[in-house]
Amino acid sequence: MTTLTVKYSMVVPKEARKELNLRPGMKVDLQKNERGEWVLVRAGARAEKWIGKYPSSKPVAEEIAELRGREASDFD
Amino acid sequence: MISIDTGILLAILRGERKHRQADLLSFGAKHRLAICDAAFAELCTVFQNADEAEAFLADHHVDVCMPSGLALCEAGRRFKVYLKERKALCPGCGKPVPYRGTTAVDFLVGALGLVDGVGIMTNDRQIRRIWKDVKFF
Repeated sequence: MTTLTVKYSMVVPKEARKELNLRPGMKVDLQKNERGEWVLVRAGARAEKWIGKYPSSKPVAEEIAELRGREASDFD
Repeated sequence: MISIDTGILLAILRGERKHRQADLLSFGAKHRLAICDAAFAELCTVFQNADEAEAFLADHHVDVCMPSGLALCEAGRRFKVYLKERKALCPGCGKPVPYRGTTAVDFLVGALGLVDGVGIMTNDRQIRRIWKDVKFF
């Protein structure tokens, strides 16, 4: 158990810090889990699941070029 | 606010340049991130439905944003200059080929970043060429 300060800062217990791999200065998010409870997560933890979710054999540059009617060499 | 171009977000979904996500999230901690409605439409071609597209943006702290009237005017003005300077010629007869589209998405992305925001995050070299007075992240 921990007590919130007047500015709603809190000390994260060592065990939670280890499990969440938190370091000082790191950003965290409060988000609801599947059971509707608020949980503390590393900022960006939710974003990681999207990396490579829709792979394609076509390079992104080529894909954007097609959408914009331009040359793939216009894109990094 | 930083205007995010389609290619940056598409690269995350395709698993290309994985460091892009970390860059995006770190900018998101300091600035508001936004994608213009036209760029969002481009991005939506990847997803199964709009809910999934919105969840993706929410997880990256990116808002969908319609450029302001001022930004739209700037996009239109620069697009007109671009069309004047554009030298697309017909390979057969050598005459100029008229442009048949509407104001291009890259101009809206640029205007959102310049007029309504503080900069742009893009992989589009044409945006960097045309919007020289914008900060690129």
